[in-house]
Amino acid sequence: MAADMPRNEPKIYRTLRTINNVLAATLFLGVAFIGGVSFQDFRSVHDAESFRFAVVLIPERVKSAFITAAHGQTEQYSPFELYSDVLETVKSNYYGPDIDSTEMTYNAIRGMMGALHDRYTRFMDPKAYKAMMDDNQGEFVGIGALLGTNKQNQVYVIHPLPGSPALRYKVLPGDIIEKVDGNNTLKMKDVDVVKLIRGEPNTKVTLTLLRHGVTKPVVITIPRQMVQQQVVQYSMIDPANKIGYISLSVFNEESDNQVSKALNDLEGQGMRGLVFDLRENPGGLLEIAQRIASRFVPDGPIVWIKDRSGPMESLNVIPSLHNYHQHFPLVVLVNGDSASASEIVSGAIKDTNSGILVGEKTFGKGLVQTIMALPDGSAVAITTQHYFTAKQHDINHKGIMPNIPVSYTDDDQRKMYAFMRSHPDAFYDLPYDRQLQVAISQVKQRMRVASTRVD
Amino acid sequence: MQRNTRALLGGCAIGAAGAIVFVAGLRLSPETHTGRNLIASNLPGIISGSRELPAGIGANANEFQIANSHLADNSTIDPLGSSFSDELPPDSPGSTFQQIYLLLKHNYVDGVPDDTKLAHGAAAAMLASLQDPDSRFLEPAEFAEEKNEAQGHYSGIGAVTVVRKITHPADAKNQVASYDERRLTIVAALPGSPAEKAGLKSGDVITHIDGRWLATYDPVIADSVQLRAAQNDPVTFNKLAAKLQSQVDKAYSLTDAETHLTDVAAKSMVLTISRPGTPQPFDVTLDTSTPTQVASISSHAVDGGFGYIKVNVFTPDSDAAFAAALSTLGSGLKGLVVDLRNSPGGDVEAAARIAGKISNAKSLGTLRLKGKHDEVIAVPAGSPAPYPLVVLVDEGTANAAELLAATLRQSGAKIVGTRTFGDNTAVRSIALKDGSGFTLTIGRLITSTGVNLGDAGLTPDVTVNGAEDPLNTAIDILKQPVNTTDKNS
Repeated sequence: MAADMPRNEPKIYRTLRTINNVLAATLFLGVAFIGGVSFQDFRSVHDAESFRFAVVLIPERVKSAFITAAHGQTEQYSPFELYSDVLETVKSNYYGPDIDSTEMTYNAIRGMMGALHDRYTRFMDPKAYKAMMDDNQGEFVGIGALLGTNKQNQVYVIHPLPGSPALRYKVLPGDIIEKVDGNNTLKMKDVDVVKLIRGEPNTKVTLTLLRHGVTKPVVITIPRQMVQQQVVQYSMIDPANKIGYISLSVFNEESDNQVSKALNDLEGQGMRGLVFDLRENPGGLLEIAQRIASRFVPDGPIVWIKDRSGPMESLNVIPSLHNYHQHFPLVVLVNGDSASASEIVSGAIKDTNSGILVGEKTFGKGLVQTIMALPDGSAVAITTQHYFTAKQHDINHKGIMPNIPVSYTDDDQRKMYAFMRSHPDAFYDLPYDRQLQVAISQVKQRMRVASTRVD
Repeated sequence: MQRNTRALLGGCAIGAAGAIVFVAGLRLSPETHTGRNLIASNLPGIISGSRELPAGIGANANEFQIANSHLADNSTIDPLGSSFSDELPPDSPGSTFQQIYLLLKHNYVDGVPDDTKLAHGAAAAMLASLQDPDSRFLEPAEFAEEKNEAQGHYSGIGAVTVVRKITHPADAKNQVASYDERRLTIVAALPGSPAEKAGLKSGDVITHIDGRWLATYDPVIADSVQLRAAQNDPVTFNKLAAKLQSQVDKAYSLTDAETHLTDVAAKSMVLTISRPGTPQPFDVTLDTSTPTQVASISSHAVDGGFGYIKVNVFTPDSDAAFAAALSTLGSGLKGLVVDLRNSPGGDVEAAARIAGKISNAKSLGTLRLKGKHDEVIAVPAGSPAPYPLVVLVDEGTANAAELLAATLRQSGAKIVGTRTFGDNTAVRSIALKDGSGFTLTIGRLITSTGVNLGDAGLTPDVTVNGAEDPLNTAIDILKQPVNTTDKNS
């Protein structure tokens, strides 16, 4: 499941998606295996690229940094000097393919950073950095169609997104993408089809679509435009009791807007209780975590931050964001892949009793990375701070225990998978998702308590 | 001070099959080797002037060390320069490295490890990225260990290993992509070594060390049939994926394996061995508490007036020991057997000097360096043996030993045994200023007749199979009247 528009996938489906990632990752593994790239390095590349078994994107503050090296450093034998010696010797004498100084240097940097034994302190070459920045921005240029892969391994349209060019130009759910700009895509992977569909703003892309019940392929030329990633999906999951459901897949620049919009819409429908799903959410930007937590936590600190030398400092609730919303019983769904920014938000909600957590113990990442860009287009993420929850609990390597632990049996997982396969448009699984069921019943229970109190 | 010039070492590599080789107990060491003729006075690519990083190679064959004091003009080496900020554009690789170093120093949350750790991490990763286990970084203790090995003193398992590459073809029917497997293969177990005592043989493949898998192929491709089969069962799939992830997380890279197999501190090691012809892999436990001391040369007289000299490994004094053995055998020899079986190589210079004692060869062959620059490996003028020679070889005969066998054949010796290993890699060790160092593949060995040993090794003149004792075959050949026509052909 990939998309012109990334889809906020329910847990079970995302887990299964790893098969594609695993198989797609083989190229990288092949390379790593041969050389015995230093293991730390190997692992971090893993994380950064496609292996997402235990992903850990992080609260990351992006800033630009350009450091002018100190002149005349007189270290006995500095890392720079040793690196230079090795590089030049290898370049001049290695009997093998010619050495690319830039690639070799990037490997040296990865090795140097590996010596810190901190998987989050890592190097991003220019390509990786650009991809990360694109992800964080939460928008891209495309047509705004949610894509999936059917059982014949064809890429098809799950549905066009509201307000998207795909909707305006009458792309229909179920359309199989046969060609993109004349390139046959029937045997392509979804990610490759996405690459063809996306492009520069104000350009056009021509899709050839196989449509059920139509004999001739449908050809549509669609202008590309800036489309926001859909990081939030929501609905009134229990209309009778007015219980809302919001699922957030990542903390990027788009996340707060979309959460806010979802809340407003649900509140407009008379929402009386909410399930906020942060399962599988690997984290993202720290500032966005602060903004989103502010919508649920009444006041005070959301998270405490400490760097190498400074004092503990808190990031507090932003009152203007909080006061905007109503109060209602809140249950947050978490699991072992809820990390960093997800833990900041869920930790603040738990610590302040603004709601309860249901699900599984969270990932346990209490570190903040700062990303610093370099003049050659690469960047580094460096762990610069520890963070602690609102009540100053250190969750690093520990995670946060939910108030009500609920795990899945093997049978649950198989049923959920089958359900998602047969309901490609669904973003939650009410019949078989036991964690979701418990969350809803907890909201109901709290709604009763609340109304009792009011009475 | 002859450190740092180790070069052609044992355990080296193979060409044709694309195998890479590296040395596990046997790394001939610093003092050994190469000699001047290998260390060209004009290695290609060396820059002269103020940036002479590798100039040490040219300046003095035996003191290839990157250190200011070794440079002729005593100038500071400043390859990219401590004053790089004056010279390097901010977006150059060197500048990027230094900027990141400073960012780490100033911003990392818990304080950074010392510079040595950072520097060594950088160097190790650069060399590892060459994907050549012969080219790897050595911490100071490991680097010092190499000096011992020059004297035939080996820590660890005491075997020479290579990495042989096998390409598994794509399996379209099962949708399995083609992938490479690199097998860590024993070339020869040294006499008296833990490896020999445990019964390890040439061709054995090491798959695990102390139960830890060697990351020699991509398990995701290898297991992709299973993974695909589990695509529709999240439970099975997740278990498989977790198993693979854990296998990968715990694995040794080939570079790590090489370090571990020569670890001086390891008291014992369990190796999992896959042996050709044996269906199931099996474990062997090696007592590695005592280093292996290998005598370079052993010899004895054979009934009927013949002599026998075995070269276990080529060390710098192998030629002197060889000469002593010759004189012990006496002047009236009717023929000599030079046994190079299970002799994985070592000091090419010493091999050249041995050639000079029993043949009129002018060179042992050629070292081809980067840029197709060839260096002749000269044989000091000597005296041809006044009696016939037979050279015994087997699949454990490699590198310098193969060159010597090929050279003696040119002078009329018969080669008896089985096809040799086929190892043509020239490796040198290079010292860094802080006592650490690294090994680097610097070239390929070619015989004096232009044969690239890496292609297939040497095929003997007389192949000995099965139960026959090659030594008996050798003596039978020596008993035959000398065929002068043959000799001149």
